[in-house]
Amino acid sequence: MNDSPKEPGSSGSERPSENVAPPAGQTTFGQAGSTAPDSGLSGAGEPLRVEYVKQPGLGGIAVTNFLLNLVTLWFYRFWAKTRVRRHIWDSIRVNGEPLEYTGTGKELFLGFLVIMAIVFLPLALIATGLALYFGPESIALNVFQIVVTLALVCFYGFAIYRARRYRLSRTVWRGIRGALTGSALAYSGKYLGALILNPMTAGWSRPAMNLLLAEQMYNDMRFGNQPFTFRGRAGPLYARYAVCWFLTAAFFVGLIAIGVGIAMSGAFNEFSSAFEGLLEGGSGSDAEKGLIVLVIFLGIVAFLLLYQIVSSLIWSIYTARELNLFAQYTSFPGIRFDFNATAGSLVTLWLGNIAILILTLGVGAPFVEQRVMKYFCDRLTIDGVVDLGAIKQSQAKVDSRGEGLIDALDLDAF
Amino acid sequence: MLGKPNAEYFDGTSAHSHLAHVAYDGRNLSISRDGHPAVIWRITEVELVSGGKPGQALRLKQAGNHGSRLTLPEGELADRIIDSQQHIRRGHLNRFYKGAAVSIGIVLVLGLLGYAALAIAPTALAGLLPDKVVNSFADGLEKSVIKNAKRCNALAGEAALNKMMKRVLSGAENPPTFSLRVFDIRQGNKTQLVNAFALPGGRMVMSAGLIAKAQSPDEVAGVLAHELGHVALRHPEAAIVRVYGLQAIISIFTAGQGAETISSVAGVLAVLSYSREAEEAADAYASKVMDRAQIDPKGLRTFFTRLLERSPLGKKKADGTKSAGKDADSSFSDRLKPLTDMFSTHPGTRSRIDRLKPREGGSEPPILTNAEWQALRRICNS
Repeated sequence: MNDSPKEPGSSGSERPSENVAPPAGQTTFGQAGSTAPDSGLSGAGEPLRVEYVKQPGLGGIAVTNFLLNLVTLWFYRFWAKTRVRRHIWDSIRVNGEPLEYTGTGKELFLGFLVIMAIVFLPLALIATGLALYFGPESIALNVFQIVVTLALVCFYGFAIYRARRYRLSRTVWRGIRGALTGSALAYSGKYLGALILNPMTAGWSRPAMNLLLAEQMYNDMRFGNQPFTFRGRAGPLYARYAVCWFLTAAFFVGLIAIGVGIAMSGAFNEFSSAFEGLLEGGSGSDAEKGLIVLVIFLGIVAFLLLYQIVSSLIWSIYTARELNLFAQYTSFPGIRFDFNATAGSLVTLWLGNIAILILTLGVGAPFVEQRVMKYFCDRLTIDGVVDLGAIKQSQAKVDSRGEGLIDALDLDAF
Repeated sequence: MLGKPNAEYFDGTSAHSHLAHVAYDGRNLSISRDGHPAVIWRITEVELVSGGKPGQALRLKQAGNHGSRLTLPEGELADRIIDSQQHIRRGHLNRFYKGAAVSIGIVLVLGLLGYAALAIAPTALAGLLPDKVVNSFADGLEKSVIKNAKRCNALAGEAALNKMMKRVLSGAENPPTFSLRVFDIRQGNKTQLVNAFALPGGRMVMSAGLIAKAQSPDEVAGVLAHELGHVALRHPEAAIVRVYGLQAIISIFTAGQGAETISSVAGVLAVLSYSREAEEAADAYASKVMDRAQIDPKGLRTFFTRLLERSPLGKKKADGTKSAGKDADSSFSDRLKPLTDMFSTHPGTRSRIDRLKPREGGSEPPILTNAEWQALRRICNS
């Protein structure tokens, strides 16, 4: 219970932690003076400071991971992920002490194997049997595939929750584990509800559903035996949401207007008659046909790209608000969180990530993960003090396997 | 405490930091704190958490899931532990090697299982497929092979074909049940296809173009004997099992979404193109049948030779542009070509042709009279 969080006075914009946190990347206990970790005589607790300290070696990990993935037809991915996480966790310093990732590639692989054996193998056998018996284009097979797809969608939330649970139980700081102690099925139900409601309400349910999902996720989270608490309303999200929603709508109307404008002009008539000629396989040289196909292809690519970029730009305004608000809604005994996301920085982060992935042909994916983690560490501030001695080891059951479903469903965003 | 604090210790029960004095005697780490009994870690059971390079703090833990952690600052003690204990120094590297080895092992095992599923199991399981499955499959294949081609069944031509088939069958010991039909299959409504297919369920389909290209009844009879070999050896049924085995493997990784790939061109070709081993087995079967039925194998031989010389692959070989040793015509890309001629579905090589030896001794009574042969060649004119 978070009965009386020790709020820093409203005047205290200067955090008292400045002279306590050791400089980046160094361990300075022992010779440190007054505020070095000591037998908790004071009992008042310590302020916390999170920072991301880049460690050398991520490039080597990225390249060897990619090569081994190629050689092993991507079966190395479980060990590859583990190596990247170990590196990134090790770079996150809380009061100078790194986080430790204790998961193993073996656990991820076993998680994958179990999901394959109990879910995907039976589905594959049934599908193959149906294809054999009723024919490959039969209604029975199509119905089965649709039902399976829908059933798997019902488990998206389950997969996300279980993956989070695995990662938290494998995250250790000062010897203490994290945990996620709630019901994955309950989360899955809410997630499915969000998936169904969002299109039905033209997206207007999204802030409320995101809040509902965050509420369960953060309230279920533990560090050791101490709970995180998430309390707040979705209302303050809606002003920004409305701005983004109407901007997107305006963007669409604009696109349609441009489309109509082109259709009215002579250029389009010429083009459409050329296109009809192409469909009928009639006149026109091969070069002309090729040009038309190229124009259509480039047009589609440009449209999708424009849509992606513009909608990401617009929605970063909302995402920044949601990140900041959800951080403010979250607390841990003795401390409150503050997050400083801005639309501009989110767009920069996103564009940089896309550029890395494209320019390195995916080899640089670990750097994208690092950038995201660094963004969160850099912009997170923690107010208050924690009585670290009061945080006891987590007694939550620890999964022996991990993340099979999220790997199989290809939902693994991070 | 025995000495000045030189390390930070977390006992795994709380996040509280304990200043500790650590002594290392080459076998044990002895961790002492004020007000606590000393903790002894055997150095062989100590694992690296992070650091361990010059200029870094060294973080250690005990093997197993104890939660206790020890942080040693950069310095003489950390260096001494790292220098003397290879398993700690090489902790991350060893973990990397192990992961790489295990994943490569997994791929090798899967490769072996895949080989078993695609190369061994199909032949074994081919006889166990229920008729309904074989027939529904054959219906689909027949559609994609024949499309809307005209059935050729002029009376006199059919009679000649039956006579020829009876002669072939007289050389078969346990002839399988089969049916034989001729269709005027064309490519792009123009050139006649020169091919014969053995579909599942003993359905033999011959293109009119093959009869047109043949110069004697011996040649057609040889092809029929060869296709009868495929039917008798259950090659089409084995191919069904192979394709579905492949699909089952694919759909495991796609949650049952890959089960309809069989309707694609690649699926049809996978069923209709046999391996060189299968072709040679069918050739051997045909040789035996022709020998007993007193049919001159020279017919099949000349027919194959003529096809090979006409096909682009044969030409390439004749030019000597392709190096010898490997069979250029059984390469994967060639197999994925549309059903052009006999060699697209029946990979053939010089060595196969050379293996068709002439019959030894005995006479070869004609298979058809000249009138019957002419009738067969006009089987499409009804």
